[in-house]
Amino acid sequence: MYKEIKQIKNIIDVLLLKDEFLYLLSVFYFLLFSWPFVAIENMEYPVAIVVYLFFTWFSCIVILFYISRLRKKFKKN
Amino acid sequence: MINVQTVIFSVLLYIGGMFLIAFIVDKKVAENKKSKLVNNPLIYSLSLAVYCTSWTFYGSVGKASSSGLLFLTIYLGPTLMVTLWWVFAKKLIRVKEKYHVTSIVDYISGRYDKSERIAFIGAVVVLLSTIPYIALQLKALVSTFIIITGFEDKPNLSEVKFLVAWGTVALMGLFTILFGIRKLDPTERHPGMIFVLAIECVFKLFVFLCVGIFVCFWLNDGFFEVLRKIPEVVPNEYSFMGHQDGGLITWISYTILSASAIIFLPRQFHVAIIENYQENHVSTASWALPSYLFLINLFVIPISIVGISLGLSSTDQYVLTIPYLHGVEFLSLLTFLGGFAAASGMIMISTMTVATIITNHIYLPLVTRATDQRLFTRFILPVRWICAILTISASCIYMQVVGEKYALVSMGMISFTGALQFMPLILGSIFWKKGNKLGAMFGLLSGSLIWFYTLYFPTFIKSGYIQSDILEEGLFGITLLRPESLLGLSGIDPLSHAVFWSMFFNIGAYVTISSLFKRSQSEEQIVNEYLNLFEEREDFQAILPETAETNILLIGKKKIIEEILIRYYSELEIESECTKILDEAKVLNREMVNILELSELRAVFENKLAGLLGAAVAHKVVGASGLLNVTERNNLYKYYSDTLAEYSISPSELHTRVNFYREKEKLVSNQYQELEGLVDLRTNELIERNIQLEKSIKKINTMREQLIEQEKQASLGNLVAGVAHEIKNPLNFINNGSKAILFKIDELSDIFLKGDFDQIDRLEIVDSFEDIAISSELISRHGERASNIISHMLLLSREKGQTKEYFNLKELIYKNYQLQLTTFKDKHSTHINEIIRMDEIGDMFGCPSNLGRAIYAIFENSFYEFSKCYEIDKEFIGEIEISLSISKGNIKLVISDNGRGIPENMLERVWEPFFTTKPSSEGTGLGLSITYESIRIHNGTVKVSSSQEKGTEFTIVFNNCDIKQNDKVAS
Repeated sequence: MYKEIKQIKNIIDVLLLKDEFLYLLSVFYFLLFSWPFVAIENMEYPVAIVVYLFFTWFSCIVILFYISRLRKKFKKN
Repeated sequence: MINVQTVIFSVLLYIGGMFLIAFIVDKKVAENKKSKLVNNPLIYSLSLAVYCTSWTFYGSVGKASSSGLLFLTIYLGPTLMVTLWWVFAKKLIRVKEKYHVTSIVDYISGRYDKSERIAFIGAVVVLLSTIPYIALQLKALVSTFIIITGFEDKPNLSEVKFLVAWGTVALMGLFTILFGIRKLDPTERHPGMIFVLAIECVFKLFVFLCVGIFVCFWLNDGFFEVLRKIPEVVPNEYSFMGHQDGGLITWISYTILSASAIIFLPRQFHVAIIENYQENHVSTASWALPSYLFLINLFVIPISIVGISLGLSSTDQYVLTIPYLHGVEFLSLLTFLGGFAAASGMIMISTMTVATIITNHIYLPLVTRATDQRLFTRFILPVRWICAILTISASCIYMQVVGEKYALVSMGMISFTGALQFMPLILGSIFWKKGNKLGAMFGLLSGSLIWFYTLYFPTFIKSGYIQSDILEEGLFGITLLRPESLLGLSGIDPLSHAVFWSMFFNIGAYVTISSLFKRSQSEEQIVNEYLNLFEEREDFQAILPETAETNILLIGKKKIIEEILIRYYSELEIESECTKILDEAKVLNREMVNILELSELRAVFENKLAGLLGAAVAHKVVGASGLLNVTERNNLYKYYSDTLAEYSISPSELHTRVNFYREKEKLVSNQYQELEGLVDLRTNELIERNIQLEKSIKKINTMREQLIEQEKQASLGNLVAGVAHEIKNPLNFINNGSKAILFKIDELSDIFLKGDFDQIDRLEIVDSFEDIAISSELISRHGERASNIISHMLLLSREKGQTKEYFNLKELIYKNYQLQLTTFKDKHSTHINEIIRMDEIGDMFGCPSNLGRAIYAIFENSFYEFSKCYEIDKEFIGEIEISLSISKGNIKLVISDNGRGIPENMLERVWEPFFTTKPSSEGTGLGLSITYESIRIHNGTVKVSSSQEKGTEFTIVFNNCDIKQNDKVAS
């Protein structure tokens, strides 16, 4: 099981290194950021929307950080 | 209220401190060009946070108070854009490095055929879009100064505002000139200024977090407690807290604008591209900049909610007024300085960029038309200073004219929309080869005009300086020309409206005209050069053909270069600059050059000038200089056409081949990347497997050690149990026997004490003596047995301690065999059939006494079996076979008999100490254990095979024996 997970991780790493993935990531997060303004009625869950946006933003930063490390490692290798 | 003198002193102290830092950093970097003080990704990322101006510092809270979460788009957009920086920011950096790009306008002009017109339009757009932005910084500074010094309620407020505004202009002008406009070449980096920007960014973040913590944890019970107040303090229809009419369009417009602003705002372009030291720094900035933006926005909503709940009026100043109203003067002063840091960083970098752009793309193209250019061109640096002062002054006027009516954010968004006009041209330059000068010019012009008309112009109308009917009725009374409902488009906010129409015309004109008209030859060449850079193609090394004649005098060309340089540099600098250019073109100290070398010299010179004047002016100046005159140009063309003719290739064929090889190169590059990815994947897998294997081996070793330990413990347990059992039996007999003797002695004592023995007494005495004799015999026999066991055990324990020597194994075997045979024949009158086949193997190195006991034990077992068989069957004839041989240093000894054999289930246990099938009086069970141990320490193995009623065979093999030839073998 561990081996399979590692293999999947390696495949994901290779995908993350592709420029095309960055386009997808950008579009995906654009949709995520806009989603509350399409789906949730105004002022229905104000605190939840704030938490949602900041959490989504933070997750985007974490992914960018990981890609940055990965690219650095890849370039080093 | 804080004393005016204290505030001014703090500001001056802050500026002085920053200037000192900048001075020290500049000095350090000048001393050591490879210094990592500024050339590091962290400083680069922090300097990019100049994006967060006083608009962020004050305006975000203001925007959050009026429009909920809409302010977040200003920071979410950059996060999305930074994601793509890996793709295109690196390409822009490469172009900057190669062509000495000085600004965003210079980049566009350079890419689109070094067009002066595009540069001019771009310069005007930059100037117009920067003015509101600087104005909003000034507005923030003035208004916060008024609040913190308590001038709000004073009757002379307008005079104070005027004084503060123009005082700030003077201070900022001086600040900008000292920090950023000290050098002539704008492509030279400004390490001191960038370092100061980074420090300012850290400072404003720190202050903002302090205010946020003060508001959430000092005035309230925590972050989420404040958030829970949202429904209480704002009305239910509070905007941008979820879905509402038109909200999504505004949200998307803001996101697009801010995404473009993070790189296409002139100052952002300058910091991100022009001041960049290494492409790789972009990688760190991709996460560090969004992290900064995340942190600086964390407390915006809580501050806004607390400000609203306190009933404060000016939403833009909540960050300052909340600590100020609570009497925390130190925090208020710190906040003011944080806002000052945010504003001063932006003003400094923006003014510097605008001054360079105006000088290079408006002033210089105009003066190059003058007959005596030198009169104007010698003073480029002072002209830049004047431009800087004028830009800040214009911003101050704009603030006084428009600023009072507009919120900070609205003013900022005007600038963002202006910067957006550069986006199609720059992205087109990277991703669309067909984009050309004409398309770019019309695209930029139309987009900028629409931006000005729909967004910029209405600010003056709303401020009351222009007739207000235009907004309602349209220009010349034509309703389709209403600035905020152009061509009848209504129902969306003015900003989204301006974004839509400006982009519609900009992109539309750029794409349509570029598709309709072909690029010029020179533009074609530029596009190819840019593509080479984008795709990281390596420059081909120029191979000088023998056919190119070296017939051009360099001294004349050097004079032309000097004549041009003298317009911009002092006479002292000319010689060194000229030497640098000749050296870079690899023609230094040459007298004559060929046409190709001259062409290269021209390119290097133009590149050098581009760093000073911008690509367009440099191209024009060098073109007009006669560095490559008409004859030489014709010779260059002739040379190229001759080269083509020599290879018998038509131009179209050449294009086809070049394209083919480029495609091929691209394909190979892609495959290489794929392979690298796969190799990386496999390497990772192998590393993982290796780690797993190492873990398994470690686990196995641990288990083996545990097993050995368990075996040892078990063996020890068995040994102890065996010893206990074997010794206990004789001891029991001895104990019982001695007790019985004592009992009998007591009985006898009683009889003897009586004195008078009758017949019965006599019989009892006799019986008692007989019992004592029997008991004594038992004691003696079992004592002997115990002694025997102990002796065997001592032998077993001494096996390893015996000294080793060369001995004759064959003789040893035979001697032990004879010993047993003699003993057997003494007891039994029967015959033994013996088959003895023993080779002469020489002398073996080992312990003869040990091995003798081992062999003796085997023979003892065989003859014991013969005895038992004989007792059962008097006709039994024992058969014993002994064979000894040697092969490749390995000695093999086989002893077999035809006894009763060993039951199969007992075969495995014959080597165990104290295991025996004999009655306890006849064997201790240690014989074969001693055999096993003795053979083992002689590097040998022993195996037993047996079948019941047929016999037993012992096979002993001594491996790699040390054998010495003796006389018998030799004979």
